[in-house]
Amino acid sequence: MGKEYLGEFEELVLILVAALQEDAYGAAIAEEIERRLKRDVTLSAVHVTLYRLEDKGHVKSKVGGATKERGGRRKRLFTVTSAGMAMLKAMKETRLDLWSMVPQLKMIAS
Amino acid sequence: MKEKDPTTSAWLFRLLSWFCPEHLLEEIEGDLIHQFDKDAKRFGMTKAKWRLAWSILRFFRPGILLRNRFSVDSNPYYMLRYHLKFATRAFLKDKFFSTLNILGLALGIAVGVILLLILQSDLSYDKHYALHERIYRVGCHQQQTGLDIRWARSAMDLGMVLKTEMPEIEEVVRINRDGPRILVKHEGREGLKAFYEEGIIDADTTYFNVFDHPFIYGNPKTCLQTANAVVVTETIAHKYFGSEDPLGQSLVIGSDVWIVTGVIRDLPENTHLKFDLLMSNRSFVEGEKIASENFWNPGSYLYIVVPKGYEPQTFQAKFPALFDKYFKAFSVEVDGRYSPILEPLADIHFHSDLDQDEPQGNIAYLYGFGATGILIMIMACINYMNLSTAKSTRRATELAIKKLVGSNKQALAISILVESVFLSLISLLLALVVVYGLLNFTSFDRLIGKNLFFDPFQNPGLMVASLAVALCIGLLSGLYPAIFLSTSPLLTALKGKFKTSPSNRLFRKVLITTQFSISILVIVCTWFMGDQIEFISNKALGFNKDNILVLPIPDSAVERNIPALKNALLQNPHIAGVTTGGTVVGANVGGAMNFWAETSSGMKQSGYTVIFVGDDYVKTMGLKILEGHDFRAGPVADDETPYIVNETAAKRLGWGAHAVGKAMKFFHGDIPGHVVGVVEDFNFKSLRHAVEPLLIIRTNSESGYLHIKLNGDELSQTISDIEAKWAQHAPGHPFNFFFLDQRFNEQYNDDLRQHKLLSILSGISLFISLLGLIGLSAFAATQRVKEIGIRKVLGANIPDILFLLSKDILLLVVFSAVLVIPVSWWVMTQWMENFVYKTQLDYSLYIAVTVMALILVFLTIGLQSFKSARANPVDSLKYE
Repeated sequence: MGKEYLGEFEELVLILVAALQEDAYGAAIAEEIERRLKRDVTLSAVHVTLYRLEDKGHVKSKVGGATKERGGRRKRLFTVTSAGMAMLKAMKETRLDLWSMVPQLKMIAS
Repeated sequence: MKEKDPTTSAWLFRLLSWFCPEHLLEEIEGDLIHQFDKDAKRFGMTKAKWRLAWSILRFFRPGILLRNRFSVDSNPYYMLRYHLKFATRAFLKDKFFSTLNILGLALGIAVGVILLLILQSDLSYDKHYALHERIYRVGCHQQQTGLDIRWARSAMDLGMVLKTEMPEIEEVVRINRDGPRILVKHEGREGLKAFYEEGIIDADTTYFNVFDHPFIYGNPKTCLQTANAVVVTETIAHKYFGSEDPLGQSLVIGSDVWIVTGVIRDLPENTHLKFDLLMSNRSFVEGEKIASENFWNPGSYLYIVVPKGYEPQTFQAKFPALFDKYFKAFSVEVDGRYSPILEPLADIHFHSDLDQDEPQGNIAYLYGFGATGILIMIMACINYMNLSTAKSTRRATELAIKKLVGSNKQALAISILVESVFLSLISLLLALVVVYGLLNFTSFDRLIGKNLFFDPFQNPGLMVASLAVALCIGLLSGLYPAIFLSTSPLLTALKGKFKTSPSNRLFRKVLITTQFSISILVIVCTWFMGDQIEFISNKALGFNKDNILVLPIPDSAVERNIPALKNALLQNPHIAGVTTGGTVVGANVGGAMNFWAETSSGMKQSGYTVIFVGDDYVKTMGLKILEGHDFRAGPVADDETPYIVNETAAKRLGWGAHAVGKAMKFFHGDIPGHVVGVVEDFNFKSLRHAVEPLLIIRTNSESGYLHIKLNGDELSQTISDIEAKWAQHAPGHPFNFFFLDQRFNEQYNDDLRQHKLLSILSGISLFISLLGLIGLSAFAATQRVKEIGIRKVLGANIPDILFLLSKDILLLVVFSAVLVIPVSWWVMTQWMENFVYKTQLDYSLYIAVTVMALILVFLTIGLQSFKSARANPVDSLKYE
């Protein structure tokens, strides 16, 4: 796998990290996916993906402050790096490019 | 310390902390709790808990596991060297324990390596043939009145029509196994070389298109194209022709001259169809008119090569058409049904359950041996665990100091694992030496009835597998000590007050019980097996198998001289009787044949086992006539065949006590016959089978086997007399005889071998358990030196103390023996299913084995603790 390649799930998680801004951590992202996409994900899948994105340099993380409701455990908060942002934008543009090639008529017909 | 969520199951989180990298643990735990709280509100407590457990389990994945930073990773070579250094030191520091450990592990690994060798040989059966995936053997399931057979063979003529009827079949070969024959090679004018050869097969000219063999001389494509061609193995070529060029040489087999057209390498051990000579004189004649009846006569092995991706179902689907065309005409007469059985070549060795087959592997025994081997390996691991945890009090200080200077749990655990793996690798070396010695310098081969070749340099697969076995054993044995020792409390250990905890002691008791249960199980089973084998070898068979010498009658020339030979032999006062029989009772007695018999509802056809006999068979074999009389002496009339049937046949036909005089007739024979007598049932096959209907038919032909009943006196002299007379009446034929009882009992060779092998394994298992005990008791005795001292001061004597030290373990042994009763009962009843005739399981055996184990255990412990028990209490108490 090249460095410039993101899997579908990776892309999803990366977008959510960007969307959730200050509050992007594992459980929150999993919840968002379940709520918005109606898709069952396990926490571990989200975590593994986050760590992988971090390895690739698309996100960075820091440990946040402790809160009461998590049994006192701190969160690891993720933010998108500029490289990650660039990646997302590039992917979106290629998608749009490709979409523009799809004839409208055909879509209606099918 | 972080606050624990009271609602969650703490052990689940402990599980997580065990495999999750430390730097990620906190946030993951947090997220899990977060999710759990939400779930609890949404689904309720119970479901939330299940979801939590599932989520945690799902974290056990490479993406998480591989993020663990092992200390070895940071500087692997340095750390490994460091661990190894400690391992060597620990090894050298306590040579006694180390030797015990290594001996136990080496035995376990050696058993593992031999197991691998056996597996390797058994699982590779027939896979060396290039086409093996596309070769099927066609057997049959044939049912007709009184006959229901599943044979590994098919009719010759089925092979003939297959290629025309099913053009998609690429090649067909039919093979017959010939009986032992004499091969003669004439040398110059007078000399000749003659030997009996047993491994002769006779095959179609297509043989080498199906099975590929490496050729030394000759060409596989052309060697069978000429008439009377014979292809021999290297060994045979060497035996008859020495260093001469074997091609084009002639061999006389029977009365024909055969020309050697090819020499192949000796067949490997792992093929189901073994032979030394392949004769070929037959090719397919197409378009010949074949009688339907011929198809109902499955006599030869039939192999077909199918195209790639061929489904055997296609064959079955096409078969009914073939049946209608060839089989049907005859099926009406015998109410017959017929279905072919296709077996993939490589499955034949273990999975074929058909009759009339080549000798076969017994997968049940492989499982049995495999299971025992694995149990022994587990016992070796248990030994190691027991010894190293018992010893842990000595290591505790070392580990505590390592902890103090900054080593973490993982590093400690790894160092303990390195130690056990280090020991198991040393044991592997020892085990390899042992296996090499065993296979090359002892008759172990013969014991297991299998040629195993152990050449470490030629067999990389085996070496890798052995290494894997050793590593597994090392890791498995190190695992518990690693967890147990690395978590021992720091302070008590430093103060030198570290004691093993009750739960640890309980665990060790469980381990010891397991070990002894296994040992006792294996010993008891071995013993029962021995009982059963002895029972079947000695059971009265209904005929007298002792002192009967059997000589195969090689050809028709000798056959003509048999009456004269008989008379000559009967002159000898030590020969009680002479007769001939078409087959010898035992493994391959007769096939089933169809006969007509008179019943209350007219003549009816059914299948019987048949023995064609000459004069005096009943008397010589010691059969008991229940009704009627024996055959009349002298030749039988041409127009009347006399029959003797066994009880079972008479009962099956509903004859009751009026069997004599009933009409019998060979299936297409016109010669009428009558029953002249009924013999008491006797076991003409192995005791695995019940007695089946049998016909004994008197003929004038003297072919088959000469049976000579000796009275047992002056055996060697009588035999040499027989040999002299044989040379006179059958000149030029080797004198190759066997004794009936030996040949009959050879049917149980497989059981006997297995029994021997299991005896060895049970010995090893007991030995390993005792090895462990030696270590444990030596250790316990040193730990309790003061207690012993005080007890002695208070008046205990040596036996009291020995009993005190062994009491716990003796109790465990008794407990194991009780545990084993149901398991061994189950195993043995399963095994006994193999036999129709069973000995009674003798339950006093349990007591005998248990008492034996108790004595051995007591002796082992006693020897080890005797020194402490005898020591002067002053010495042990004065330091307080």
